[in-house]
Formats: sequence, C-alpha cells, structure tokens
Amino acid sequence: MILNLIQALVLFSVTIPLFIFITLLPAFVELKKPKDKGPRMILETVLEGISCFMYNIPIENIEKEQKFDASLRHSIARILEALPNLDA
Amino acid sequence: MDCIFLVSKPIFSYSQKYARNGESLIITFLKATFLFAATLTTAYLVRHYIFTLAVLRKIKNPRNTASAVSPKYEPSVSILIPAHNEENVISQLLQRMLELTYPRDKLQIIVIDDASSDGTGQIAEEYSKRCERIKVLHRDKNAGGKGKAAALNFGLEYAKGEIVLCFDADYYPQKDIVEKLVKEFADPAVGAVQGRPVVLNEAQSVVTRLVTLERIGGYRIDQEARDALGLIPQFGGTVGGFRLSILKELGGFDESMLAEDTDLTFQIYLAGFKIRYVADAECYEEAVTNWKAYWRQRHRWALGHMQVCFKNAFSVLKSKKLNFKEKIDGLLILHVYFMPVITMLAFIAGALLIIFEPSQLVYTFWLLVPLAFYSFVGNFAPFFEVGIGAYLDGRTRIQWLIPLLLFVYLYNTLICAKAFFDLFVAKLFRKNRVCWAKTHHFGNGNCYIGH
Repeated sequence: MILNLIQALVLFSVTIPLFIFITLLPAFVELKKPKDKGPRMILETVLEGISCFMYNIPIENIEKEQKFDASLRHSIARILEALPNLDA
Repeated sequence: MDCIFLVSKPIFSYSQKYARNGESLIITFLKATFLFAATLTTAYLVRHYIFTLAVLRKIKNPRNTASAVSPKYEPSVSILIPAHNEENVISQLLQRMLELTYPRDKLQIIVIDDASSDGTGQIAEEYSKRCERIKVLHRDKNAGGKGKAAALNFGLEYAKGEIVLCFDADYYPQKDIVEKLVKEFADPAVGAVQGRPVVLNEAQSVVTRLVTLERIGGYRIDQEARDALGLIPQFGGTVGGFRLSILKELGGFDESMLAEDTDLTFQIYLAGFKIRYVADAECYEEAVTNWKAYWRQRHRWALGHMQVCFKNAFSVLKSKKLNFKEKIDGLLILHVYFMPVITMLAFIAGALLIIFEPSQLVYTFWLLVPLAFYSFVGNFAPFFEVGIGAYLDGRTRIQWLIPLLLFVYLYNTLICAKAFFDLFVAKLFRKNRVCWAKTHHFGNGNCYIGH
C-alpha cells in the first residue's frame, strides 16, 4: 500500500506539471513572441484608420475644413449649373 | 463496576448512534451541497454551449434589424459623459464627439465633471467654448464624487433628447455609432440598447490581453446570443443608451447600486421593455493594465452585481412581464457572480465526500466540476465561447492565450468571495452604501488613435 501511495505521488508529481506545461505552452509562446494583430480595427474606413494612426486634427482645423468644404460645394454647384446639359 | 457498565453501555450506544446520525447528517449535507452546486455549474455550462451554437447559427441566418423597417428614424439624442479625474483620456472622446455623423441639430453632448481634482473640467470647458453642442456640468466635492449613478442622474436633469446615450471618458467610438445605436429605438418595445466595447490597449500587458479575451467572449458570443435568442442582453452602462422617458418613469439610476447599469437592465425588463444588442456599434475602450486594478474593478462589478441580485431576483421570478426563458436567463445572470464561490464549495464538498464516503457518482461529478470551473465562468465567458468569438473576429493567434483564463477564473473566485463577504458585512451592519472604487485611466491606447 505504501509503495502504491509512493508510486501514485510520483506519478502525480510528474504528470500534473507536465500536463500544465503542455497546456500552457502555446500561451507562453504567444506571450514571449506575440504575433496577434490586435487591436481589432473598428473604425469606419481603412483610410480613416490610417489617418487616425498618423496624425491628430486640432479642433480649429476641423471647423475651418468644414467651412471650406461647404464653400467648395457651393462653388462646384455654381460651376455645374453654368455647364451645358450634356444629356440633352 | 457492573452498575457503571450497565449505565454507560446504553449511553455509549446512544452516543455511537448519535455520532453515526451526526456523521450521516454531515454526509447528507455535503452530498446536497455538492449536487446542488454541480447542477448549477452544469446548467451554466449547457447555457454557454447553447449561446455559442446560437451565434454560429445567427451568422448563417442573420435577422432583419429595425433599420430595415425604419431607416430614417432620427430622434433627438443626448450623450452623457460622466468623468471623474479623466484628463488623460477625455480630450480624445470630446474630439470624437465633434466628428460624429449624426445630424448636429439633433445632438446634445453633456459632460458631467464629477468633482474632478485634475484638469478634466478645464479640458471639457475648452471644448464647450469652441462648440456650442457641448455642455459641461461641474459638481463640487460636496455634491459629487459619489459614483457614476449619481453623476448620470445629475446629467439627466439637463438632457433634452428623446434618447440618451452614455459613454465613459476613456472610450473612442465609431463616427456613425449614434445612428447604429439609435435605429433600434424605432421599435417602441425597445427600452435600451447596448453596443460592443473593444479593447484598444490590448498589447500593453498580459492583463490587457486576457481582458480582451474576456470581452470577446462576453460581447461577441454572450451578448449576441442573448439578443438572438430573445433573452436578456445587458445594458453595460457605456456604449449604449435608453429612452429618457422610461428612465424618468423609473426614477433614474439607483444611486445605492454599484452596478447601476445591471440594475437598469432588469428595471427595463420589469417595466415591460426590451434591450437590443447592436453588434456593429463598436467603440474602443481602455482596459485595466495590472492585477491590482483588475481586482478593484471586478470587485466593484461583483459587489454591485450581487446587490442587484438581492434587489431584483424575486421580482424577476414573479414578474408577469417576463416570459419563462427570460426569467430563467435573468436569474442565471443575477446569480453569476455567486457561482465561482459555489463551485469552489462544490469542489471542497466533493473532496470531503471522496474521503468519507466515496461513490461512483461523486467521483464522476468531482471530475466534472473542475471542468465546469473552467468552462462556464458566467459573465467572464468560458473558453469555448472565447475561442469561437476570437475565431469569428478573425483572431486565431490570440486563442493561444485561452488556457491562461483558468488562472483568471481562480483569481475571480477570490474576488467574488471577497465581494460576497463585503456585502454580507455591509448588510449585517446595515450600511446603505459601499465605497465606489474608480478605475483610473492613463490614455494608454492614445498612440493608436493619434492623440
């Protein structure tokens, strides 16, 4: 009985750590040399994603750009009105 | 001597019989505890398998959303941003608020500077001066600093929108997130919506990576399955919103609850409304970066969740506005933070039973309970939910970290046990309020979004 107990203890002391090591080995590899491409990309477009990573747009420039966009749209609309109707 | 023997013998026999009965009572108690806990863990295990299969099925057969019915539903919206000492992160969120694509004449942004001692208030005021849509409310130390629920209730007094959305200060949403969240309210039965937070600073430490895994399992599978199966998706307090009229009828957030969002979830369902989970309404968040911060945050969640359980469990059970499956799911959600402690008790009871009275049934269940430990883990999501969630997100390499979730679960067992003890002490000494432990944010993900 004592021999069985010793055998059981030896078996558990070897197999359990081995099992834990094998189970956790992929995790150790990933932590040591991470290859996961996080974080998850959730931004609307690829271009926006790149731009957000590249630079920060100050608040004054956002408002100026919005005003410029509005004036540009008006200019383009006036030009289009002056052009002849090619469909006709 | 014969007299002593004659007297002592029945006493000894009676004490032996009593000892045997006492031992029998203990064995019976251990068996009952073990079987009760094993049954509950098996129920959670089955639940999460069903959730995983439901999401896989949903991918094959996507449902028609409310947007397909009412694509031009654009109610007035108020966005609440409660902030306490968030100078490292609030600037990026307010910048983002100005870039939202929702019609500006229907959008109101309210920042609640909740007794901040850093530059949070000043930063918010700068944005408010440059953009009239942003309103800043300041609370001093006397009125403020009493938790998120109190700050939100204060902000609600100034909200004018039909729909109210909430964002924590460390969040960075998509530009069109308002449209995505709000469209679900076209259905008058919907009382609240919840979007999906995505960890931004996941590469920072082991903790952030494991939190990322938890979030993937919890939102990509758990929340999505509950929505698909018509159960109870949870309102998470951020990246989500609710109808202002409903919240006013309910009397606002319960300020005695640490998990006011979970409490609101059940109040909404008990009032006869539903919550929808909007998987494509995504928002970056900053995860805790070390184990101490993780403990503080999860301890607050566990304690708050247990408070909500004590408050709402009986109401959920007897409510006539919930159907049978909603009641079952509601009860499982409410008790989820007790489960790590219960499974540990089952493990101990099973070990004692094997020592005192081994049987085939106990051996079998005692082997299954550790497997259930690793599998069900309630809101923290079991390994197969996380694995499938990562796979659906196209993230196969991060699955290699899943075995580490076992240690996270054991850590959470300690957290839940401590939270239960703290709640027990609070109730014993009739403390109406427990301390709000704020999560500090450092702007660790700012490098990814150019700030």
